[in-house]
Amino acid sequence: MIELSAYTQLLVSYAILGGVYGLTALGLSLIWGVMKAVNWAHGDFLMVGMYTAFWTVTLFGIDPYIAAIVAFILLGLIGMVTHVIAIEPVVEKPGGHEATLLTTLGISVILESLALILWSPSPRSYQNVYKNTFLEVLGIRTSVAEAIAFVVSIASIVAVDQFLKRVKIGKAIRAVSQNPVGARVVGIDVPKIRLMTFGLGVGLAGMAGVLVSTFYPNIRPLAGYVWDIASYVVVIFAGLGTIYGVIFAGIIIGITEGLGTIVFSNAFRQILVYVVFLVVLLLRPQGLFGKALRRV
Amino acid sequence: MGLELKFTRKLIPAAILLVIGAVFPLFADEFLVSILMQAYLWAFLAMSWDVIGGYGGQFSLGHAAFLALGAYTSTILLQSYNISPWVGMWAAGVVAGAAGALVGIASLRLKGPFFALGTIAFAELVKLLLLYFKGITGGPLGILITKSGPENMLFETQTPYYYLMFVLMLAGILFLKWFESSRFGIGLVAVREDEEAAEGVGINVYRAKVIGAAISAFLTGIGGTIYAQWIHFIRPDILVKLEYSTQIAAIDVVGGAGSPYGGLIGALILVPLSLYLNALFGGMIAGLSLILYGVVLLIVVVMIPGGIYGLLRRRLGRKFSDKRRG
Repeated sequence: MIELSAYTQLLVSYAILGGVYGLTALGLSLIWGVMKAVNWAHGDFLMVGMYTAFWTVTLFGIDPYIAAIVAFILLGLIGMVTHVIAIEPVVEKPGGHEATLLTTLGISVILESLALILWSPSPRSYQNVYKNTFLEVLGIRTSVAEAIAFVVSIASIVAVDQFLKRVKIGKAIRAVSQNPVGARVVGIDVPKIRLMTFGLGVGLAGMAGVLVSTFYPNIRPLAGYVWDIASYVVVIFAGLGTIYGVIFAGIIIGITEGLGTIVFSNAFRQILVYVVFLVVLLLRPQGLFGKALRRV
Repeated sequence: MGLELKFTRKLIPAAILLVIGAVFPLFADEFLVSILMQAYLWAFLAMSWDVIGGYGGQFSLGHAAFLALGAYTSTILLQSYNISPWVGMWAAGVVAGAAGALVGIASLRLKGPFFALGTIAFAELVKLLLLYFKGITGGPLGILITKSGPENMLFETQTPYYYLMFVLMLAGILFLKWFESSRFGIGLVAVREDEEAAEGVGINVYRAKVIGAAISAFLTGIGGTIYAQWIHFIRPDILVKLEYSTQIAAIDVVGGAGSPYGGLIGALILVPLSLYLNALFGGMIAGLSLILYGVVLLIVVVMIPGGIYGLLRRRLGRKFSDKRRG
């Protein structure tokens, strides 16, 4: 029975990782929903969030979870600047989706190179007690850092959902996402909503980056890439533009990775994820939780 | 008179550029030759992408996978079966083309950004499979090309590679020029503009997309062989990079997608820029060249939507029509 509990342990860790995938994917999903733009630099914003944690914790000695708030605000601002430079000028033009893909690719390249120049390619990590303290529930051990990351991820997703349902700006965001023309007709400032959504999406990525850095201490300029791919997989899996879908999709992807590790091997784990992803993409392009796309 | 005008306006500049390209290695140093040579290779890859990405309007971000499939096919044939890459490159094209057909089938269901994301996942999958089947591919260690001799497409100096890639690039332009006025090419553009209308006038959308993607991947696979022969060494993580996939697409978009010259123009601007800056600052500021690369991409996409070729054509077109009017 030792083996079985080891498997359970593994699956739980992967499910926790999946919950964090959900948060990393949330920002992408929001941005897609409102402006139908693929944010290619998403993983790099995550990376900047990780460095924000590193610098605030090592320089000012503050708690990494306060750094998460700092990163949310800082990245939110960076996100708005990015939006003004790279998204707003092209998003409404014909071929705008492809154009945003390329402009955010430009931003991605710029961020990665800046990080390389400023902070060197060698990985960094910072001291934190959460990583080395462990919790044990029903015989399953997990670090406090992972447990907090999971809880904060779920809480953030719920918070964003409530924000979209109850707050005026949130409602406007939903309106633009559902029908941009109609939203404009009823007097919503659509470009402003796009700006705020992009800021929010990037801010969430920054926060996710800090959470990831608390239990996955491998902060380097290209760290965003792994999370980038994971986020896209989750977003497609959930259906672009759904909010709660990302939690379930994240956890499903996490568990799929775990199962892949158990049944096959660690090398096969990712192969399985991509195969599942491509199958879902082909059979149900609207995602598992998304509504069927209407033909326009 | 029309013919004469066309002759002086088009053929003479083309001939001059051709001669400059052909005699370039005689006058330039090895570094410049190497830069231009790589620009030709990337130009060819961008032109290959253009078939499905530009003319077909299917924005692929997985072309590095076709590059790798081509490189692996010919290299395995060379190293394990002693088949020369002059033959192997066609096999490379066929293997990559078959994979391209699969992606083409996927494009029937995946529209716009969904297709782009699907191709990214496809490329990742190809990379993981190359890593997984160690017995054939050498896994993470890759394959080193140990043969030699021109009969195996291996040369001692850079100059023969320069001419190889020069010819490859010219072949790419000629192919696209033929392609864009061919029945099939026109049909593919019609599918890009309006699938339903294309179907209405009797174009088989399924066939157009699948064959278009297969042609694009076939050409990219051949490019992969040439690339492998030049660097003498292949490994999954250096070939199947998202960076490469995006670079291929970006070069074409910057130069002007959906035109025979876009790939070359984009490559002549972006490739030397990044290589030259790398050589200049490489040791001190790694990454500086990439920043400029990002900035150029951003500026072109935001300010010059049709790419540089589109801009040139609009400018020149206006000039000529002004003259005619005057």
